Amino acid sequence: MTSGTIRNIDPESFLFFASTLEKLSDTLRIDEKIHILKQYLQSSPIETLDLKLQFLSGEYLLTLKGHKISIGAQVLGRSASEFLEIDYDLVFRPCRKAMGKTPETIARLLENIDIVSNKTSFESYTISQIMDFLIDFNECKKRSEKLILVDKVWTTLTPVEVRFFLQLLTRKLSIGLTTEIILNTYAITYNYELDKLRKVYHHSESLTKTGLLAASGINLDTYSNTSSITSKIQSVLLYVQSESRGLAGVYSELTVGIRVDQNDKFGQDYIPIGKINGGISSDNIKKLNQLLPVLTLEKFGTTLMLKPEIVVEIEFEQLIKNNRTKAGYSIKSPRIVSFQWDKNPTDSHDLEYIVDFYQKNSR
Amino acid sequence: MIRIHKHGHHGILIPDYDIGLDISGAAAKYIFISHAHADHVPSNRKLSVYATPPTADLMRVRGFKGEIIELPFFQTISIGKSDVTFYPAGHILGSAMTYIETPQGSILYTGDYRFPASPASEGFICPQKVDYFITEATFSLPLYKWKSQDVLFDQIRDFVTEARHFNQVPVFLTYTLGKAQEVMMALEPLKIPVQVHDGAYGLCKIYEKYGVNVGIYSKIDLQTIHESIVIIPMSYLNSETMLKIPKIRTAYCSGWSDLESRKVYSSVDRHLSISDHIDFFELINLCKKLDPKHVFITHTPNPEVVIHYLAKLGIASSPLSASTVEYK
Repeated sequence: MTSGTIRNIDPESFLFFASTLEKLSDTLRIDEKIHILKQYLQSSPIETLDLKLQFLSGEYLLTLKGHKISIGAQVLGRSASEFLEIDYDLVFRPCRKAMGKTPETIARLLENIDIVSNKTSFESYTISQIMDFLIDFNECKKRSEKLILVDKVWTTLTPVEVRFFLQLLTRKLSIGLTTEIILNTYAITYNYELDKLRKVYHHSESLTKTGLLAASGINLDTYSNTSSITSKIQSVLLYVQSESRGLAGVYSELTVGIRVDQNDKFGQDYIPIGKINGGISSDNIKKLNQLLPVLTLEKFGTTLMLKPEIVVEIEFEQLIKNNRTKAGYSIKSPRIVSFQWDKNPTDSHDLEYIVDFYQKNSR
Repeated sequence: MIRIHKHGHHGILIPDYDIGLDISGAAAKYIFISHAHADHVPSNRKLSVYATPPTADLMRVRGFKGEIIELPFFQTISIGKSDVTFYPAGHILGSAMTYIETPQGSILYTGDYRFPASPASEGFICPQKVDYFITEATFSLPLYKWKSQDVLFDQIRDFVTEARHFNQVPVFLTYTLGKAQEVMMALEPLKIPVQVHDGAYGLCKIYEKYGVNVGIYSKIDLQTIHESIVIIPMSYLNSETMLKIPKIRTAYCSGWSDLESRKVYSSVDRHLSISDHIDFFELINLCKKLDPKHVFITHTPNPEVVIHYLAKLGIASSPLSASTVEYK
């Protein structure tokens, strides 16, 4: 079930946060991710929201020196192996290979191997204590000091906390949250129009700040009524890319293009204008994946080149000149508005339209 | 000196006694089939083989045309200088461990097995004395530790409640033989009709013949599917029939679903770690309990991990070799 197991945990604790992250990573459905995140945000008073949003958005890294913590997967693996009393080469490495990720491998082994229960003494960390912990790692220069801190991770955190702490430590969280999902959650949780929040995000360039403003309940008009223009164009889908390697990957990164069939210079009918990462409804992903076998012209690794047949309405914050692209323009913060399954690719906008648009809107 | 070696992809040969275990060709006179999964049944469908009565029935339903000599559990058959007995393996209905007593010592070949046993099987019973233990080790890493049956059955039923909460048809993605029937047993108390893939339907009839209660079930029927629970193999998920059901919620039932790397590749809603194989920790415990002269490890990408753990217990082991190897 999507609720229940974490009901009795203090909502301010890192354990509650980690259990929420586990639920978020367990579902691929965007609407369910939004629901889970909404419940979490609703359980949090605004005073303690800041750090939680920083963790969710990955913006906590900005407060760390060098914006990262330098610790290798091998160091973690070796330290965990020592703690678990298993052989790193003979046992840990095959486990890591099978599991695919270091944090998940360590968390699972901590859960499974009995020896651990005698050596652990779980502390109930708050989110801000976890941030302090991360700062300690960040400030730690010597390997030996880092290893002492790592050992503290094994002894004081539960396996689910270890999993997500290590994700925070080694990279940002890997739970399938996109900017659009987070903004959508803000909109639903704090009753704002999504467009307003997008504008606030566009100007603040911070999901944390946007979330804090939304949670404060203030009128966002002053933050969002600026010169930002949200514009829409009809584009054509040219490439899809899978986020993961593997045959069964879900193709959710899209490269969309515009029509140049009247322009001999390009030698092709459509050229790319922008790349959109995620934010596609599961129904549209499903329909798209069904059509891919018919539409695919060529495959390069995880990227499929498609027959230009699907029209996608997209919106974006800004059109900018960019000489590194074929079109000479690129779009900033593109999002999908809708898949126009019944439209013909010749109905899509052409380069001339883009040039006109730029001239009208550039200042 | 006893000679045991691999034969073909999954088979095992004990040449001195002319015995083949799950082998596909005619390399041995006496062939014993551990269970009815396709990777253990001869691809040469005209061979003469020994199997338990439920395995024989399941093999026939799945198209095996050869002669099957039915050997019930615990009945011993004498073949030349050896005596052979089937013991329940706890993997699926009819699944058997083959126990071979020879003048050179006793051999136990597990086939695929599970302990604690699948409730949709005859249980797991092991002979007391085993000199040479040939064990499958599909899940041979300490990453694999199965939850108890009670917990797993609750997860299965909770998934149905969850799907219905969202007005979705619950769809379990499982193998048609073994796992499907185990999931059906878990669902039985809900008294909700289950629709199964054609491939599983005939197999369920055999389960019922042997007294396993798999609840109310029928073949897939789109007219009534919205009031039902669906159990299909993964390969059927994108079939035309399934694509006609707009709102489904899928649960993938497999020991492999425990792996994060698998989760990334798959677009299912829930991963339920239900396996019909023994987990790593039970495997090591069983070896410790049997304390054989030698353990042969097969059906695994990671025999070294098992060998390492057994060595710490003072138990000699090795991967089963393709070439003829003699063991004292």
